[in-house]
Amino acid sequence: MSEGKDLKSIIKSLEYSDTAKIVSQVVKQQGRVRANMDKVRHKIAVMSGKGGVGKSMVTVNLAIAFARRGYRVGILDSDFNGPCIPKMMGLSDLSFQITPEGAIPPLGPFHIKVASLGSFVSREENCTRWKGPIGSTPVWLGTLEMSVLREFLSDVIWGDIDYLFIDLPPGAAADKPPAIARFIPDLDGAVVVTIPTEISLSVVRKSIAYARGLGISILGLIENMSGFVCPGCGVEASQFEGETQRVVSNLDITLLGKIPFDRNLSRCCDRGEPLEEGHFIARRFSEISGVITELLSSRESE
Amino acid sequence: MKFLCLKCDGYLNYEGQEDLEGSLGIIFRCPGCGYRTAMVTNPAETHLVHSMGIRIGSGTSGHAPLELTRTALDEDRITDIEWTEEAKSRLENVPLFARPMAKTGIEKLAREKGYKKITAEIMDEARERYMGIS
Repeated sequence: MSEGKDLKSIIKSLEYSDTAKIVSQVVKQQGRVRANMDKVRHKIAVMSGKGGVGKSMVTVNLAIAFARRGYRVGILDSDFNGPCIPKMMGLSDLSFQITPEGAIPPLGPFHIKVASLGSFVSREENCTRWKGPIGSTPVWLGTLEMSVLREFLSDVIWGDIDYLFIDLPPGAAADKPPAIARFIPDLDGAVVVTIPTEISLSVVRKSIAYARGLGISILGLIENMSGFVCPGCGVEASQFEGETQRVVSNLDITLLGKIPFDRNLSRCCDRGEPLEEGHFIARRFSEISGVITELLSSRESE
Repeated sequence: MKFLCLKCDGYLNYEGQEDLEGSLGIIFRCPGCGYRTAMVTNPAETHLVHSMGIRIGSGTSGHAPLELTRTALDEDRITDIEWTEEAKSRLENVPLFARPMAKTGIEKLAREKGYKKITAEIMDEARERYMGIS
């Protein structure tokens, strides 16, 4: 150190430059997300807060219903720990093509683009596991998962599509999925999935309240497992006794539709095949897609 | 983070880095007197920065699609190549320091040839290609 100088005076005389370029790296990351997402006309999250209620099934069938209406559609499976969209879309054996321009996602039925971490996992029985101590430390894991989500938003070649459905993970805490949804730029809103049990409705209520607190619009609610259609006589009977209608009225949200148990639906999901267009559940999803389309176009015209 | 050369009263420049299995060794050099020093990063901080998709040093060149996703996932889980028990056992005979390189080379050969499973015969083929031993 020069005589008569202290660190403070030396540093003051030096020009600081960010050679690590951390800020510019973060800015570039955000810029890539924005540029890629600007090409996607509508982004809709499918969430619940409660696990096992059929979010992925709803996501897949909504995407197919929109694609059948002639829209260009993509699905982003953000359930990194239990990705099942590739299997439901019949894409278990396909992965991304990595090109200098971006990652080309595999195409499912009706040319639906599907991005999922499941495409990187070689065997169905394998779980998602991260290298090093990241995977075993909740703080790093959360940061890493958000960064991976950012990469899926910025690096996958979605192209000019009309609808991107984001299948959000379940969360023991009701706040995790809305926090992820907030990360998606210009999100149109969320479709909430529940089953008609008081337990599910209770968690879903918390999730909706949290999402609204973050400024996420709730497009409506879909009640899954809302009954059982007897394969013999075709009569629909209730399985649970939760009062979805009361919750919907109390929260002032739209009940988009009810999806009962159905063997064909379950079979199609397991086989990775779309339901036939004439199947009554495919028609219900078509009606739901009609309601969402109208809702979004009325917003655009306001 | 910056390092100051107390002889020249100037910042040291980033010169390069080495992967130290979890942490990084980052080398700095004074542009005035050529003094060099190395900083060893804390493994926890290294993982945290990595999990944000930030490259340490001045590495901002060439963004690779889904780079973080592909590098952070456990490599054994993203490979599409399976190993037979016999092949796994033979791989364990390779000295520890050379094992990752051997594994990568054998899997590269298998992908090029369209093999889905590594067998002892493919290992022999790889040995012949890379080491000229038949």
